[in-house]
Amino acid sequence: MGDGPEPGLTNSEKDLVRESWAPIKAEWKVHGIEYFIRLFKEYPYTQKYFKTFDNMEIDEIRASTKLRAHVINFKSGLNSLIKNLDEPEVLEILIQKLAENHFRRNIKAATFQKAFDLFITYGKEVAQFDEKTCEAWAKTLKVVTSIIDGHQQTLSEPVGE
Amino acid sequence: MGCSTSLVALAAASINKQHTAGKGGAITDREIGLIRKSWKKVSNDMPSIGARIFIQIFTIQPEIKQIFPFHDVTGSELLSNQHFKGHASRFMQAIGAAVDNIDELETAMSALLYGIGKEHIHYRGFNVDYFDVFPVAIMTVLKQEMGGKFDDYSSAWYHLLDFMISNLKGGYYAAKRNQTPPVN
Repeated sequence: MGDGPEPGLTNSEKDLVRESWAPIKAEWKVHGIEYFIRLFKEYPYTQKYFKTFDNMEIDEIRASTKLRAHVINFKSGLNSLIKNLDEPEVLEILIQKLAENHFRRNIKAATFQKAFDLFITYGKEVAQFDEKTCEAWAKTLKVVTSIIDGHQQTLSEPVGE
Repeated sequence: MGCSTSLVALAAASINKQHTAGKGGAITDREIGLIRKSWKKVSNDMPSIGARIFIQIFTIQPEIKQIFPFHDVTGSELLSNQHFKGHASRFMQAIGAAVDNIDELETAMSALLYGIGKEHIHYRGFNVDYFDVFPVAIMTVLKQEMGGKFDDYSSAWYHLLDFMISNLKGGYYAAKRNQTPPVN
């Protein structure tokens, strides 16, 4: 893949992502849950990916430990990606692992893209992401999605597994 | 370092005694404080600590390395290997998440660890007993980092690690039970 998935993010774009992530991360106990509830409301099919949530009411889901667990996972995953913005090779492996475990649940790149777009919208609302910040996030997350897509396509290829 | 085998035996004996989560009792506030404090000391250099933990795992039980893509890579090449660095990063991410959420261990964290344990059924060659090696490796590296001071923290870490293994194994076994047998 050449020298890795380095998306051509400028240093200032990376800084924007890091800086704008910090306040969201700090309040993740609230934001994480709200973001996912928003995702489920906007894209109800995503709720079904969580078998336990399939016929649950939103309030029940909000209080569930399963959501809490996934929210923790999401934060720690996103945090790792952001920490490794200068390490394209490590980033690639991390994203591949992400691609793999979601592929097993039939969650494809297109869904990630929707979730990421929503994350930026959410960031605008709760953390006052300005235009440049949104662009930096959009650029970063687009790379993540394209690596997920590429890797998931590899996983679809019959290999005699 | 000839002490790793006796350390494994000691740790394995202690860990094998308590396979169900919570058998060692809930983690106390005091333990939480100790873990957070000691974690702060090592979390400045996660990539390096992660690498050392894995090197230690491979030292204790070399066959574990075989299941990874970098199974025949050694020395400094191993340390700069993309898959090695990536896995160590993911691993430290998980430990970090446990420590971050140590006040929600019985609830959210057990679910998270259970899920991670489940994932391991997909890794060809993985054996559930390998989970027992990681606490020993972590403790070894933490002790290297903190020297004699680590004695104050070690039982808190044993407790946390025991909890983590129980849940990882629980998730693994549950997923195994649900798995359809492989079609050859």
